[in-house]
Amino acid sequence: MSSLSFLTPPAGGSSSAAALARSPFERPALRAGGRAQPRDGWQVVVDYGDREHERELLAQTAGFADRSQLRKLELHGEHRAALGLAQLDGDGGWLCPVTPTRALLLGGGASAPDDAVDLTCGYAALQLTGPSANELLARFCAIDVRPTVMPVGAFRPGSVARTPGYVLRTAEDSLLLLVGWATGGYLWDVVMTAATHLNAGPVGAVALAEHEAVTARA
Amino acid sequence: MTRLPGQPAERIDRDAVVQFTFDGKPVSAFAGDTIGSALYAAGQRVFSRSFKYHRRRGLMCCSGSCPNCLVTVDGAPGVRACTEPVSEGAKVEHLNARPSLSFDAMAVIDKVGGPFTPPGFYYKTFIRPRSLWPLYEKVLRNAAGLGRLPERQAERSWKTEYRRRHADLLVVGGGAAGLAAAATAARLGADVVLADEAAELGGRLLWEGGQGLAAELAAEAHDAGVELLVNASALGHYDGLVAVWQGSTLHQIRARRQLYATGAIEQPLVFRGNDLPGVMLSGGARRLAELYSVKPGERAVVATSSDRGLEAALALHARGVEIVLVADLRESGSDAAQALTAAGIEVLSGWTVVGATGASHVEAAVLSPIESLKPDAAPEPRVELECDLLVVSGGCSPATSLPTQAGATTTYDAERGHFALSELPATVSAAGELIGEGGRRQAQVSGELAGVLAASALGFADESDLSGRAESLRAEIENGAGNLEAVPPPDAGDGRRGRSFACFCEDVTAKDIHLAVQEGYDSIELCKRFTTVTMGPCQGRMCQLNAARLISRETGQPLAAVGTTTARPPWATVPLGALAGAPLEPAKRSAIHGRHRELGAQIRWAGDWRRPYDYGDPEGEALAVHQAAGLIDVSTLGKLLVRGPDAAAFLDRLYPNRISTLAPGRVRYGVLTNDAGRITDDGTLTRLDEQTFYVTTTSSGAGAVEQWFSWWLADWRLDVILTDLTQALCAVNLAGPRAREILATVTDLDVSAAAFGYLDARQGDVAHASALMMRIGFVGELGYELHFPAALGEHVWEALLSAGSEHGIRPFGLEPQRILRLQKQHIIVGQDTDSESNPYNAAMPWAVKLDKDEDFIGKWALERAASDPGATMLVGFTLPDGRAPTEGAAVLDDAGHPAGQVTSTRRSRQLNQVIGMAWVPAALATDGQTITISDGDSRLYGTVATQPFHDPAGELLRS
Repeated sequence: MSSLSFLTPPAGGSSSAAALARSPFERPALRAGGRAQPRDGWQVVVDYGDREHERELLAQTAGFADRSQLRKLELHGEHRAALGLAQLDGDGGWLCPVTPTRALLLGGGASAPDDAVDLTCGYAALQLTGPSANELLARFCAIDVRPTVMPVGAFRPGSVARTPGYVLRTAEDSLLLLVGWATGGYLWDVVMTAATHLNAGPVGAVALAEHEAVTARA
Repeated sequence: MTRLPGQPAERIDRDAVVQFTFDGKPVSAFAGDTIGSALYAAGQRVFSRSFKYHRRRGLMCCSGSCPNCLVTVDGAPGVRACTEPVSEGAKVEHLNARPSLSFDAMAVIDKVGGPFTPPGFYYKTFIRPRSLWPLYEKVLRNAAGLGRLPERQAERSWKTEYRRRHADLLVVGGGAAGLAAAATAARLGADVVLADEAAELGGRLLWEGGQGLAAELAAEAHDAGVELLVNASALGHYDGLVAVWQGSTLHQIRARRQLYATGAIEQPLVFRGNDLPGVMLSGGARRLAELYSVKPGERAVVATSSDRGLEAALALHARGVEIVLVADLRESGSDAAQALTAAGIEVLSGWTVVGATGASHVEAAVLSPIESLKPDAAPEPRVELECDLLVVSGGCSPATSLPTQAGATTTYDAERGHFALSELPATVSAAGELIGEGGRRQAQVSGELAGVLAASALGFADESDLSGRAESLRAEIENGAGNLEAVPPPDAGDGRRGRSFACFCEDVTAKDIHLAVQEGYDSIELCKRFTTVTMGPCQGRMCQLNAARLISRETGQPLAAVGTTTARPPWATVPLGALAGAPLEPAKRSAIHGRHRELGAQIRWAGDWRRPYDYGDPEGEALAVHQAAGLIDVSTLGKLLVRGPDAAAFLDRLYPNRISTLAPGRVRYGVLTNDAGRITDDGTLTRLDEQTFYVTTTSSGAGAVEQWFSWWLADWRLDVILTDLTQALCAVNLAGPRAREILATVTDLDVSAAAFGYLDARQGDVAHASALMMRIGFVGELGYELHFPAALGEHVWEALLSAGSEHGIRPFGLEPQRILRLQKQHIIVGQDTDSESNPYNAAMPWAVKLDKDEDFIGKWALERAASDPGATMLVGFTLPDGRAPTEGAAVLDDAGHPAGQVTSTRRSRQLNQVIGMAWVPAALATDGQTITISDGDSRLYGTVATQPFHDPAGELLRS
């Protein structure tokens, strides 16, 4: 057993007693009408009861979805990514440079290097997607996310709703926010308030996945 | 009724009637009207009473610049009627007059109170007798101010929304220059935002016959991709950020460059009676007539120092206003003057207005040759003309506030008679009438040139490609220069009885400025503060230039030396709620927070965390820990991973403890000290393997400790990696005599005393969650601290409570924890210690290993402290009489002087007595000594105890 194995939430099991991992967004999402299902050891909000409406949000304004179950590994040592620009690897993971010798690997299926630190539960992750995703972010974050300044793959540390965080542009219409796990509930409230001004709202994993698939094909 | 037939530029919709009330009386308006234009059309001429003298005031500027039409709308005071759109059912009320606008009892001040209310009167009167000041204050406060806020504000339907916007170029001002600049820069590739305070883009074009061009320029800007913000007032320039208030949105615009095309503000003339209702700026009269189709008067006299007044006279004449006479301060006639003459209107060159008369409204204007105003001038004929409208134009003052906030400077332009921008910061530019390029075509070209230059500076165009274009634009600007204005006299008052106002907002007259200068307030900044000129709602728009002229006359200083006051935000009126707004107050919550709430916890702030204070029974919860088991969420603890070949050496340098000898799987308590040997934090260090340590810190110290570690690591360049795990892991402490039994049911790990001893650390599954388990305790009973991924917080918590339910487990919060730790005399850094506390005087000498090989931070100080810990020592104490002293109460020395303080006190049900910790004189820091505590008016006497009150030998902890 690695001395750091206690950092990693379980991958999920069939036992009813198996520990089910929960995101800090879960409770407010359920209060907002979210419906959750276990997936790969995590309780995941799959929709909010009206997938058609969620598709419309993603297509016309903006939707925000919980991505906290995304694996997040802290890697140390020199890496190939230039500061400010994350690289997408072959397994679908984003290698995000924090310093010249420290990077976050977000997602992806490759096995973790031995000396990686599992920070999956260090950061809550929220995906903002849609034509108004930039505007939604602008309600609580001063990071310049204009496409000319922050193209796909751009990765910025900064203040997100006055708490330390990161912003990664994962697609032309999509931004991934990372904030400290313990501030997840606070961030949800901030984003929800901001969304009301823009007729945006929360979306579940199903609608988001569909939208991402359509966008990728396009 | 004074409504004109349809006008080409009118913005009213005559098919849409809007009803509202003014002081309870119904008023009919058209959609598109402002409250001011609707009331004026309905015959209202008096809109408010002035600040100090409660004089009648009417519409003057019709552009939101002056204070004359401030009203209350639906309970919100300070609304400018001349720019506020009408809305159905609005309840509009006057300000600053009681009992009514037509009869204001406070107007007696104007009649007889003048001698008692000179400038600065409140520094001289209402001072004696001092005992009456509370009464004076009440009277003055009731008399002062503009408008009243309701005791309780109604729920707002809107909440401020903050929007951050980055851009290449921000253009402030949507007139011809601003629109042209924005469109030009955008076409060259810049990302441009344009903000204008009016409802419609176009500036002066809209009421000076240029509405077609305004629409064209606006469309060009839109098509070029400019983001156009209307009804958007730029409030101020804050280090490259310009705040723009629009509706209920505060835009925080960070642009690489700012371009100001804010135009110039028409100035009033200073003469006797210049504040009478019916005295109107030429722009105000034209706006009323052309935008709202309201005839401003039947019979008008015009007094002007520029072509603006002449053009206004022509425009009003075309709309049926009888122009009795035009007085042009300038000696030579212009094209506009000739057009007036051709229309049969008399124009007197070299003449100006010296007085306006009338009871509640202007009834006559008194004109005189300008020569007659010179000292020792021969008497000259005056002309007194009956009129119901006196249109004045004292030239313009460039609206320089925003660029000067950005760092621009101004100098006095004697030719133009106003203060103009001189030097601009590198990222700021200006265009249009703001820089004296105000003719219609000239302003547009000025804007184009500014846009070209801005785009070039931003790197969107090659300067050499654009140089030819810039040159031709410059030439066009020079060729298009208009007629100059004349400089009005500081005060054209004719010496007869009556007030000549320099400042309409604060009721400051020309005489007031004379008196202020006589009293020694002879600079514009001093005069401002003494008389309050420029400090009112207009913020100097209507009065700064005239005030400067008056000060120049009084002091003999040239205007260039008088200068202007410092421009400060906000430039436009903004509700406090827009600036306060919805606070973003980050709150950290443990992953178990939801369960705490469900269990009825009282949640409080602890630093930036929300923590359970107790679950309704703090003393009972503490007792449960002694009698069965308790479970507390300690997820807020700071958690740092320290890894690498030099990890042990790194920690040895940071802590006075010896860390490198800690074996893998063991835990040690650590006290962190600074360079001066003072305690800054404490926590535990667990060695996970040869090169990996897991360090905990206090909850509130986590950030500071991480910074401290990072700082020293950068300096020492040791081969160490730091990772902050504070939020990645939940942590709970299971404590009490039943703790082992409970834990055994949720883990396969051998938790027997033999296999898992005190200060051991083990990794294993707890309720199917990977966890780091440490046998440590802060509460004096057998205890285990479990750290596991935050995502499993609720799962593990529930598993432990469930497993412990048959054993009588209870959750416990911060307050019972404080009782329990106090029983053990465990310190809370920052409560029981301060910046003078070291491990020696805080009774922890065992934490310092002066003999360790590695030098460590604070060693030199601790070597001294070892033999001379300080004048006071931290001890425990008990109190027999049952009353817990206030934390912070003084501990007295033998002479009765404060010599220490109580840091913590609680009543312990377990021990059935009051216990505490305090800093006491060193001579008293031994068991059994009596200490005297001064608590308010009381004296309490405690007994020193240097050992823990509960389980002093630690047997329970080690069981």
